[in-house]
Amino acid sequence: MLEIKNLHAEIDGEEILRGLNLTVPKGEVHAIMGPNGSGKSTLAYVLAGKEEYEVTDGTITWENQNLLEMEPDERAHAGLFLAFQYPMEIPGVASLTFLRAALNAQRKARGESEISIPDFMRAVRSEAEKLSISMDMLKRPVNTGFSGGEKKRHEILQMALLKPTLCVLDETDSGLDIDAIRIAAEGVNSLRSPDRAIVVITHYQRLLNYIVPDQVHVMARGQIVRSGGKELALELEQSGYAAYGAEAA
Amino acid sequence: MTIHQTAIRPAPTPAEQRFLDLYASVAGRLPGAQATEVRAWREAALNRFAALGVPHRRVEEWKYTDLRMLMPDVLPLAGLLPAMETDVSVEAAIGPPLAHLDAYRAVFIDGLFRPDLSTLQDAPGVSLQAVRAALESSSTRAHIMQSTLPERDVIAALANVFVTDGAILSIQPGTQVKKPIQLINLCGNGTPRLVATQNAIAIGEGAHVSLIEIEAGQAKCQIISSTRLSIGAHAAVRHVRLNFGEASKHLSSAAIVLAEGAKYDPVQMTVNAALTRAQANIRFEGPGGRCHYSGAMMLRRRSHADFTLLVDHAAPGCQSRELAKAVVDDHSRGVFQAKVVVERGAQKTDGKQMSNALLLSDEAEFDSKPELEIFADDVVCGHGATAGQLNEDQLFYLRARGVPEPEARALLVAGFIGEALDNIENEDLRAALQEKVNDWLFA
Repeated sequence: MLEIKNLHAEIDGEEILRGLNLTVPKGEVHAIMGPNGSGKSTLAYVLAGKEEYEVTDGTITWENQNLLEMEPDERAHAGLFLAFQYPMEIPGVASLTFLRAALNAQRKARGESEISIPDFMRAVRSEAEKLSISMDMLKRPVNTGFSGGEKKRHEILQMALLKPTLCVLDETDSGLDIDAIRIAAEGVNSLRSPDRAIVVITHYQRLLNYIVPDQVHVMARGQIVRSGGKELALELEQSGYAAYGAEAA
Repeated sequence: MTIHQTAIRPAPTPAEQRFLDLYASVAGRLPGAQATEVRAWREAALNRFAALGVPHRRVEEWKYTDLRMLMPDVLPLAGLLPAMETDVSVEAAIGPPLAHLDAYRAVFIDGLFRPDLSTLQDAPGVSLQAVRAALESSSTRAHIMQSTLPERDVIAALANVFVTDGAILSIQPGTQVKKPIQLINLCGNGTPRLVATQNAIAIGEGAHVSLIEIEAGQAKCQIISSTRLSIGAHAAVRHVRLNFGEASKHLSSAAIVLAEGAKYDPVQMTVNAALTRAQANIRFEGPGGRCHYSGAMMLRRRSHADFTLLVDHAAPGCQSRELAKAVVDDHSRGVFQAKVVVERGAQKTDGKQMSNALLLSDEAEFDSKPELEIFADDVVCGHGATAGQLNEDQLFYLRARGVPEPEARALLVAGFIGEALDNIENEDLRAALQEKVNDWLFA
């Protein structure tokens, strides 16, 4: 279970998260929705351990482990995966090299041996095919020259290969057309499992037509201000975020 | 040296005197010393050296590489007979990936050709002669001595004064050389020494070949080398020049001439040698030529590496690209100087250069000096340079995927340098060079 209690975090001295509470049990998919500037992406970065964000109060635990005490790579070893809103381009490092380095680092942390190259290629080929990613694309440098949709699918591919137990998807739908959203959503849905918790951060309701959440939380001014079932997303689609102190998006 | 010449010149500095003394002590034992014309040929080069002196920071082309400071001593010359005691394993010296590369090989150890370790003699369409043998035979020496020394080139002059061996290589027109050709110039364990070699390579029209020159010092040494390379019309040459050795100092000068439609793709790479000055003078003599140069330097501790290029567009419609990548750590210093000259009449020239440096410590330094001299009006030329640190966002991205910080840094550095190696067609060669990068990263 992911438990976030009274989380306060700031960047450059400006407080963004102001006492956020959230609980996501294993086996569930929770959506976090909210207007621009409500702190959704900050929450994602704080979960992953990005250095610029300073946590000034509160706790984050995953399966009773204190995530805030861990380095970003240790959080990944503990099962956390953040699908980035803006995946980084890494010129000069081929995707396949990157994927293998990540997979082997996590295996090593679990005390397992390195994956053999044939096993690795088999696993990549099988997952890439489901996401309509060509092997040629994976020979290119990480995200370099990828379209917006290719970058997002590449994130889902990493998630499928690394098999994290706590998945956080930050605006995975932004910049995607409807076909690309469907492919990405199918990738996420195939990871739904009783052993896994999934947090979907999104501005729009449409992604939730494909990834149907167990719970929806509304975030505003750095807090969760309302929680409910999947119907809450539809209500927000109707009424917008104005009730939560936001300009019309 | 004549009295007249010394009279018009200031007294030699101690650094210069050491080279003059070295020559005086070995003159009678150098290959071809029994022939007066060989002696005269060496002494003409010695006079050229004496006139130029040991370069220092007030000499423009040597501003960032003060040889008086960086190479204050001169070591005893290797390559004289009887040969020095030496114990060298080529595999240990250059590392298994390069040693096991499927290639034709000419090996020189401590300034002497080693036919017993070489296989280049068997390559079809390729002829090889050793410089020592050529200098000692009255029928072949004239050919070596007919080339003129490039002006203001101290390295070529010194290599000419002290040369004890090297490769004279010619590739028959139209030959597609199946395997890369490795020219391996090693300085073995043992007493510190100076190695001086000269290579002369002629590529026939339409021939295709990959050349790999490797210079490596296993102990304290100085390697001074010059390479002359002429590329026939429509020939294509990949030319990797790699040097390493933590206590070795390398001064090399290459002069390359391209005929019409020739393609020349050099990769200059240095891995942590104590001192590297690698000059290349690339001249397009016929129209439609192409040269894509890439440089890669990986420097740690107090290494100093300087790649200095002159690309001379003497013919129209040629394209040149230069990309230099430097990773500089600790107190090291990297230098990239590239001058592109577009001569009158060299219209439709397309010349671009870029240097990127990754500075991994506060004391690391990188100096980039691009120069353009353009005497034609219908050309596209440009240059750029960047210097910076590892990108923290890229680092975070890798760590968020579980890659621990040291490995994430290494992966990013390897990727950064890898861009200089990306266009090497031969995958085994590229992998062997990448392995050198990894050795450096995880040393």
